[in-house]
Amino acid sequence: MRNRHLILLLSILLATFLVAGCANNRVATKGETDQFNAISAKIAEAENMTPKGAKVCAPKELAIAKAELDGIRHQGTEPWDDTAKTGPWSDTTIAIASKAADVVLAKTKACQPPVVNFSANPAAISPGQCSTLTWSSQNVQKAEIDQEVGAVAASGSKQVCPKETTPYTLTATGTGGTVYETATVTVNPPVAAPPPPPPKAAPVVVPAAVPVGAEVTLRVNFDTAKWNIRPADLAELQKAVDFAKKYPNAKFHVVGHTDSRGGDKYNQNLSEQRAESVKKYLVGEAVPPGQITAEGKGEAEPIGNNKTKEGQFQNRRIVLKIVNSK
Amino acid sequence: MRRASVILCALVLIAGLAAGCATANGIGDARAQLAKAKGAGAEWSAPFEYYAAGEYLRKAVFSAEIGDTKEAQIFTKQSSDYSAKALGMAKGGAK
Repeated sequence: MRNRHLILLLSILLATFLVAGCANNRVATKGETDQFNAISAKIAEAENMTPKGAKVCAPKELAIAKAELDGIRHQGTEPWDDTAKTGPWSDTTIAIASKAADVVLAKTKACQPPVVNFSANPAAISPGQCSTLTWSSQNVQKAEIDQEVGAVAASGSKQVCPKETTPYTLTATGTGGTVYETATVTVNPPVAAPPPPPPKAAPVVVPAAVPVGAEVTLRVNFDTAKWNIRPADLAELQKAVDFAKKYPNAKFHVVGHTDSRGGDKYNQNLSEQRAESVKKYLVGEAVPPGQITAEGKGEAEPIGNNKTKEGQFQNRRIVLKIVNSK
Repeated sequence: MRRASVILCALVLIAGLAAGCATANGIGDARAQLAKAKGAGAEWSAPFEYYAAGEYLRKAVFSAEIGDTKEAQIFTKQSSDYSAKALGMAKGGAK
């Protein structure tokens, strides 16, 4: 009898343990496992979100969701750290955990600050040209660009034609904050006009050794009653020729003279013949005749004593005055 | 034999009571740790850990109430671990 009672008691205890151990042995269905995995994935996505994870954006909601997920896991027969995720999960606990995960994900997404890409292409233009502003953004509820561009969509482009270098600032506002991004369109200064061609070089003017207006006097003497040029005087006349070539605009004035012997008319005519003789020589040496004038002054302007042979020789002369007119 | 049966039943009863008391004590300790973490400002400096400690404590209490001692103990330990972590972060100034 005693043994019967003892056996009975032990049987009851054994049955209790067996029931307790085998009550949750049902393996989770594929649907349940998929739901569990979906909840895990949502929580993981929220936790790993950048730049702000769920721990920062929704700490309380994350704690609830993870505890609920652990609650589901614990309802199974597997150990606490079981990865097989087997066990009988009630629809209620699954729904609670799923809703908690949704809340975490939504709140974490809303927490993310705006991310903005904003650029101008080309970044540098010439006056009168245009540039295209291009932007894209995430986590943005409202976006606008200054410089009178105004409100814009979260992503887009717009052509701008600033007259001067202009920074454009895109202000993007979302639930996670406000971000400012600037793109500058640089307007290059006008290209300088090519410098005017240098003036044509003026003809090289040989500096006048003789100032304008100055006179050079050459003297050529003649034999008595003669107007032909003596060979001894050719060197003196060559100076006049060289001067004429060097100063093309020079004017030549030839004045003939005689000594006092003979009549005045004769001497006047002789003096003119002497002047014309020199003029012909100069023309023969390519001096333009228009630049040469000739005249005779007879015996009126002696430079020497007509009573002496030497004085008479000095008076038989031509005087060539060269005037540099320019 | 009857005496033996009574003794056996008494042992079982004592074991059960002991387990229940241990769970209750564990939950009490976890609650105290959570309060300490809150006093250290963990709600702001380690919000996730603080709220996780609270959530696991809530689940531990629920499990204990429905008689799931094992689950209650596991949740209690979870709560205590998070409270300790939150307290450490609060004192260390970490977030």
